[in-house]
Amino acid sequence: MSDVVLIGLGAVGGIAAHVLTEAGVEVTALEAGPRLDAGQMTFDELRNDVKAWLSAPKAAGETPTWRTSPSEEARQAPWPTLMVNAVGGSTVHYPGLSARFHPWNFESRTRTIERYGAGAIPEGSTLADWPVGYGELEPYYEAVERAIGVAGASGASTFEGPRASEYPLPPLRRSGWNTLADEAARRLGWHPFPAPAAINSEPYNGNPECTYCGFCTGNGCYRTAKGSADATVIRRAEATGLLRIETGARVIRIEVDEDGLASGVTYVQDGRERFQPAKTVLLGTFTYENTRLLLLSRSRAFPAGLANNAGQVGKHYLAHATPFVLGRFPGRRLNLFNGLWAQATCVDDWNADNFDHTGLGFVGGALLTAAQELKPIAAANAPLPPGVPRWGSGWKAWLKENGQSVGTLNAQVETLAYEDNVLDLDPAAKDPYGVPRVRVTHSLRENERRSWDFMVEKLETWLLEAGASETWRGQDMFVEARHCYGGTRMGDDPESSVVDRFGFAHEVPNLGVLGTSTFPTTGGHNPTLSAQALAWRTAAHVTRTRFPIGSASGTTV
Amino acid sequence: VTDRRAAALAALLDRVVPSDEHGPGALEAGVAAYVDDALAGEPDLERRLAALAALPDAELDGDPLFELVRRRAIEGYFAGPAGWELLGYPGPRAVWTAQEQAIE
Repeated sequence: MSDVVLIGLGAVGGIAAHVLTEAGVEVTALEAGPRLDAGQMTFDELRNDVKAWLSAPKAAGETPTWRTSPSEEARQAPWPTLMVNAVGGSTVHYPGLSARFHPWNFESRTRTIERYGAGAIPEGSTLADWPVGYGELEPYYEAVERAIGVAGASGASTFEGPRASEYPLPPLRRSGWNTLADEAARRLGWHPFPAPAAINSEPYNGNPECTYCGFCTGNGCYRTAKGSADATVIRRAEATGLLRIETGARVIRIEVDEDGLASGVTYVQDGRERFQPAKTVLLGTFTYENTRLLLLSRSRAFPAGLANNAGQVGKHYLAHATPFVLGRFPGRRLNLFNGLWAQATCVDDWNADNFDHTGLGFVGGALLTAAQELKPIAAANAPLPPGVPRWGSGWKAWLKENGQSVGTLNAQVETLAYEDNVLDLDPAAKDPYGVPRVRVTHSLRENERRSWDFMVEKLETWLLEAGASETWRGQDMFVEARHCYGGTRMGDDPESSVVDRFGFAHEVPNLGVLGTSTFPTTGGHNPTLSAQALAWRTAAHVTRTRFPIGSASGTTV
Repeated sequence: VTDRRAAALAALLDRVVPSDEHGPGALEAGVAAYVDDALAGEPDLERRLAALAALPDAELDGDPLFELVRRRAIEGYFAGPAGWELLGYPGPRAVWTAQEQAIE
């Protein structure tokens, strides 16, 4: 019997393992993937980005199917789903951009109605306030920033909520591109700031500093300078002696006892089915797998899936939309083929409700970024300006002249929840183990179209101000399924949410859910830091309420 | 791999990334084996590649198999020194200095 069993040992499971073991709680972590080490992290775009080798053990086989409405047949999703199964999870290969959500993000429904009236919420949208506010989460943001090592310029972001302390590390080096973008944004009257990043700008907690190699995203750090969970919180949790990690452990079901409480977890390891009993179960996999495991865990008490008697599991699914715009800077060498994605200039002037939305017809906004780490295959595959040939000698000549002179800017656009944007189990598609895959039913609406177009125009304005001679757009509106949310929404009302304000299932009080699947909204920033702050809070709640001092198995006092 | 399939693929690769005054082509860069491996599993490949190779330039764009060949050719070519040089990228290295990250 474990005090706590963690399903998944990634961004959020790693945080929970750290907090629980520090409090003397004995933890078993079941991780589907292997352990990786820094020696495997080579500078190989083909292996890392094109073949996505880190997703191979499990995630690649369970990529959800996708459709835009219930009347369609779901098909293979057209977008990549960059989940990693490994100790450390997707933080192994994430870029680490770690901005906090703005206070507005936690109460966007109430504040939108207050400022613009109830008509500002689109019909069919299930936009909801979070049951947690920025003020309650602030100490946990601070704790996570210290534990993983976030580099940033304290006070540089005009729109950030109040901070009790400074970033533990100074910001990353400013590249030429970062500075060019920063100066252009200031001339436009915007308020740019260096991206906060879970990357060591200096040596931190026994790990060395970043060397700006250019192979950060899609790859693990070759020298553990990234604040990925494996290199930080998981390592510390293991050092307590209270964390047992089972790798290659694929969880197939969460079990319940006669009282409807979670009793433990059934998993498959080395081809054998095993059971791990536990007093508390924390589910901390990717958005899709959190929903899938609940729906697969049927029992007499929960015939439609665990914690799903109110029919809320899989509802309120969301994903960021991510436009990008390219610009040509003739004769200039931008040197973007190095550094890292989180070495960026950020603009939040068009995020959240930091600007007047009157007459714009959309809710929320986007983080705009000017980042490094353009990789060569990605650069050669990028959209070309109108009139440039896509292959052959004319194309080569254009690349020869402009390969170093094309810069891109990106946005992460908030999208809204809608009644019919949902996850369920696909009745037809199975993963390689014969388990149903998740089916995504999701479409972007007028609200998102208007926000997308607005942000694309801002990106174009920014590029031209920075000196681009021409700009052209990337893909038309699409969702970025690597930033996805919902399916186990957090809320106070058991009829419209799955977990409560501490992350525990309304229907199963000893089952906690960690990760972005609990987010009621997407926010306009990268989600991992906020998911980790929530995970810290959930784990702290476990130690306070379920294992008061001395009652945990591992505590010797 | 049959001779006919290899010849058709080579002809296409030589059109996607030709050898010219801007640098080596896909064939000199040794990209054919990567693309051929990546196409494994495509049905009726030999016949379709041969048919594609016989088309004039204007009819290639938008053909699903051509788009796949093109994408795989780009992956193979820009994974190595020939593509890097074309883009002005000096190649992978562990440490980049502030000066190397400046705009020139």
